[in-house]
Amino acid sequence: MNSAQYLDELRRQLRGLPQEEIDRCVGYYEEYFADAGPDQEPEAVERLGAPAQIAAQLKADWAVKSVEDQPKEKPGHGLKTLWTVLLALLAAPIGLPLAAAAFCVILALVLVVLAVIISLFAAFFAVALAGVAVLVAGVVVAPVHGPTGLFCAGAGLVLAGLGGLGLMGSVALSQASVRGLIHMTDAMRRKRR
Amino acid sequence: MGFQVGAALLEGCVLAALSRGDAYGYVLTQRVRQAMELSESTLYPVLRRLEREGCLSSYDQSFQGRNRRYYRITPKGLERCQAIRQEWIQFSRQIDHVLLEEESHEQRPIPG
Repeated sequence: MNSAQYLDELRRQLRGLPQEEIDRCVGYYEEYFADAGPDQEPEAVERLGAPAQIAAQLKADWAVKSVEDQPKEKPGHGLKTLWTVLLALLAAPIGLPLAAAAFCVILALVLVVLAVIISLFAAFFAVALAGVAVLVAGVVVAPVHGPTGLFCAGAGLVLAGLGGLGLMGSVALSQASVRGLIHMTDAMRRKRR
Repeated sequence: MGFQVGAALLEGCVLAALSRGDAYGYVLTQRVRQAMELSESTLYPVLRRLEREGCLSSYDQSFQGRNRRYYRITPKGLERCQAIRQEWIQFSRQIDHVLLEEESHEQRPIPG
């Protein structure tokens, strides 16, 4: 091929790189041909590497540099990562059935964790509420029959306290599970890279 | 042939060639021709990588109505060139020691 064809092929192969990079590269070889002179053109084309090889090397170098330049991911991006992994699983070209299966597994895990958390919250909330009800009952009964009232009030307080503690525990547990899920998906994501 | 000319060596050759004076693409190619042919590699990606790392800078000069881009080595480039030279000397010495060693120290069996 002649220099014009060479440069055309080079431009084609470089597609994907930033325009500035493409212009620099093509400019280099335009000057090279101009300096080699029309007589040397066939030899010059032959001696230069294939445009595909040049483009491949440039793109590889560019990709390496881009990865190095990227700032570290902030730890607070956990939820976003969770969704990205779920969506990426669907988008990955590894066969829809497999991807769908993996997606369902993760979704199921998330739902199970969610269900456990919700039921824990509900249970402890019910206990606390019952405790308050019994406490109120105790207060109401107290004037009629002191000891019963006192007993009820005490029992009610105990229940309310247990319910409250349980709720606090559930909050902590749910935070820990969400963090755990996020770590899991982060680890999956890093592994895929 | 059988030996690989790695990226570091190529960079060293380009830097060494430019340490002798600024050059534009075609001239530089002639200076490093032997190294490039041995490596079956192309010059421009190496050049661009060095420039992005700050080992080279480039400037334009007009010539016969068209543009010529010259490349110049930077202080960082000179340091890198020196480092590669030192590594090469050490590396080749170690290989020479083993590969070119002709006399055998264990020619005679130990008399028992």
